[in-house]
Amino acid sequence: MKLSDDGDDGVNMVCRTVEEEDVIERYLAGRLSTNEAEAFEQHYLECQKCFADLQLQHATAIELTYRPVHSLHLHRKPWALSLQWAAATVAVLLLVAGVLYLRPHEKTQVPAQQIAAAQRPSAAVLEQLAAVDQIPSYIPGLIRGGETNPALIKFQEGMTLYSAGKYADALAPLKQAEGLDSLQSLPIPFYLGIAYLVSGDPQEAIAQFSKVPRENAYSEEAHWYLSKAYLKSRNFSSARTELQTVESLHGAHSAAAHDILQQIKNY
Amino acid sequence: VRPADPEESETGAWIGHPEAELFLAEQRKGVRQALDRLSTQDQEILHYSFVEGDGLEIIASKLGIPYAAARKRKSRALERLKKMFVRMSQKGRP
Repeated sequence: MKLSDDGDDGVNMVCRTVEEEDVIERYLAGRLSTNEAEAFEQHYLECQKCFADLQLQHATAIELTYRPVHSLHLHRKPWALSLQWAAATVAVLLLVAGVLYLRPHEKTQVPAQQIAAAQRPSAAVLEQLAAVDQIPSYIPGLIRGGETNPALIKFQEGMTLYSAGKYADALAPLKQAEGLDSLQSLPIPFYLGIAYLVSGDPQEAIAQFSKVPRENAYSEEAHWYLSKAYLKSRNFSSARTELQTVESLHGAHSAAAHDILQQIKNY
Repeated sequence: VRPADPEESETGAWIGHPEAELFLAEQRKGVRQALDRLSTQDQEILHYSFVEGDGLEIIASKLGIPYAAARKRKSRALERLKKMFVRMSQKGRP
């Protein structure tokens, strides 16, 4: 990266460099060298425009993580999409024709309870509904300097393991960080909840997600993953409450929450 | 909200400040609404850049377009996001 020299003491960065060298994305992704990161931190603390851009892109990076990838049709050519739609349409038409052909001519009365039971999803489908499709990624804090805070050190240790996909291993340092974080300022319960959930302990996950405060940046996701933990525990009433909250927030998981609510309505 | 001064703060980290967390939650709401209004093409390039961490060379090869076009497309996507975000923020004000 081209940085203008500032004597022997360090380097200065200018807005043009930030823009041309994709400094913000690289900073958020942890791809800047220590010197570059320090130069950028120095710059954005004094530059309102770059600081506003950083805040916006930080929020964007987090928000995009929760956005369902399938809605983007990544890597697909337009004609491939049209073919898929055509194939799906043909399949649906064939299915409808088959059902109409095979349908008995005399209607039989089936008790409502039996219909409800028949409409309940199978155990395999329930397992699928409770599955965590996308594990939230962790984007570290934007400013260094917390090297002396024991809670933050443990938290970062746990999150390094978490980011490497070692969720069960991340539990111990995160639990220790939780004990040390007397101000409860770190998002430990959220990530502990995720780690427990993907490690196969929904009860502990429920306990952790329930600690995430409302109006917290993680609260919407906490409701979503809490619903998953309840689904895993087959606690449909609590899962429904959480899913209704997620749906009402009109966020990234709102449509998925609505779909699951429809599928578990007979429980 | 600006990040706390590392000398004044215990942790010196953005994530360590409840005020910043609240601000981030608010910011994310606006970003979410802005992203909803972006085209799939814009969302796609931002996804590659921010979620997959791809550099412009990789993005260009994934999209099958020249490097300069990828740069322009990304920069326009970011501009549109910013404009939409500002519009959403102004709409949300009483």
